[in-house]
Amino acid sequence: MPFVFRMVPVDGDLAKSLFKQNVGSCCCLIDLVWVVPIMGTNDANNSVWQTFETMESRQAFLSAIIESSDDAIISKDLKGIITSWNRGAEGIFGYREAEVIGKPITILIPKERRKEEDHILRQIRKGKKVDHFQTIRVNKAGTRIPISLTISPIKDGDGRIIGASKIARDISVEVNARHQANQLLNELRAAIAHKDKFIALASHELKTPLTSIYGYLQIIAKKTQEPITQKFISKATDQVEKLETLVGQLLDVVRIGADKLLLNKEMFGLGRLVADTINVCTYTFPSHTFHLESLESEVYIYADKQRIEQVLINLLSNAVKYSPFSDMVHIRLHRSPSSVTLSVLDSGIGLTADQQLKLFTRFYRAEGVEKIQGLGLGLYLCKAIIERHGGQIGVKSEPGSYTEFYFTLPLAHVSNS
Amino acid sequence: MNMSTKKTVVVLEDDVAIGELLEYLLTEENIEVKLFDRAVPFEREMEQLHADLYLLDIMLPDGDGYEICCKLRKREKTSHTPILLISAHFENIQNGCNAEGFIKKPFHIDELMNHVKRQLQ
Repeated sequence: MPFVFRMVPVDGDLAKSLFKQNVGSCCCLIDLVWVVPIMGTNDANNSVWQTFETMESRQAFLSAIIESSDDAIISKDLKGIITSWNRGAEGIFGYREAEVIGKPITILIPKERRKEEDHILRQIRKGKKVDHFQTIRVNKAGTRIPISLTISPIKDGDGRIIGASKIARDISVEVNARHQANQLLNELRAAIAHKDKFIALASHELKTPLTSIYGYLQIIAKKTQEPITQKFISKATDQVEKLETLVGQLLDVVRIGADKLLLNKEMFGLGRLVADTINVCTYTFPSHTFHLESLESEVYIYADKQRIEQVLINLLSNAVKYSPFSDMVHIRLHRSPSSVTLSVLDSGIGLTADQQLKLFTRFYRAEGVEKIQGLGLGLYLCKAIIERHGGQIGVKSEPGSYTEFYFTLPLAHVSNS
Repeated sequence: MNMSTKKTVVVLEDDVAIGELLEYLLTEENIEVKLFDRAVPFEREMEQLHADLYLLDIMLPDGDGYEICCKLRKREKTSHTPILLISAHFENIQNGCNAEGFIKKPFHIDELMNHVKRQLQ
């Protein structure tokens, strides 16, 4: 009778019950896929084993499965002598059945791994299974092959352990793929380290000429009395400062990526810093008025003052940049028992929900906003700085209406003395 | 600043343009400047040098201003001479050598000179 095979996934309980009906060979149940014979039609799933009228036909069916497997399925007795050998084993190890029956299984085991067999046999004698064990075996030609092994005890009708069945799968492809993936990962890590080193070096090299340009411009500014020259020097100085900020941002990104953003923390009043920063911004952004809703008493935080100032300037200049048709920016400080929150509110172009999600990622630029300068690093850096201070940063917005950025920082512990 | 006795500042800076800038700014304030652009000649002359203040760049082609700072601190003669470090990589400096201060590149010339004058007082 010709068999037609079909792979049918079965659930755990069904698998167990089918397994009990089986003669104890584990070869049919691999990765919870059961091989079910279909006799001509599709509706024969129910009484699978009843279709085999004799023990012989059932054995023939099982043998056919074993023979058709690409995995090596081998059995051995308790002394480690090979008692059966399928075609899959022939494919992987190169020996034909007649060559190996009666030989010790150790012919497949490299010398330095012989101890593995002792361990396997000990487990089997105890009735234990050895599951998905990755190791190396040698084939007839002496080539080493990485394999995955599963070894289970074979019991006779009375439940005595009489040997072991062994399923070996050639995992050369997987091992090679893993090896390649590791190699690529290492190359990638080296490339990132290399890139970071390059950016760090480049930013240092860029800062050197910037330092002299900036220095000499300041000297010229002091020397000249002529208003037009003063004006042009001041414009050039502003541009150098912009360039310095950009170079600094590049370096910061590398530091954050390498987790090397160091904070020089000190105790200071946030209210004072906010007021001072707003003062500077009033000159830098004459198009807008900054309205500060401050607190009655000063709030002290233990933080890197320069870095917090950097965040403030970033949020304030964003508020100006993205509200070209408005002239007001509101800043509010709010104190809770253990933290302080600062928010910057503009009535500008606003942000969609999607933009709000992506905003704090690296190199993100708001789409549809042309002619707005920058590298798209500002908010990414703000987030990193605030989070490294144990705080949070967030945004609320309505497109076409308003945007409110806020950050919360823990208050410094001021001792009573 | 009391300038009755002329003060000497030893500057170690590899970039010629920045070195000249520092030299100009200090000379304008009636300060004597000794300028070095490499660590090796600086260290060779270190024993004979007299300085009221050292201005040291950190990244040098043949040395490290931070290490030189530590060496100056260890010598008895210079252990109390003020040292200001200058660097473009400002925040990676650890103050293990007890420098009196750091100046970040690029710098505001007024801030730099205030730093210098404070140390020379």
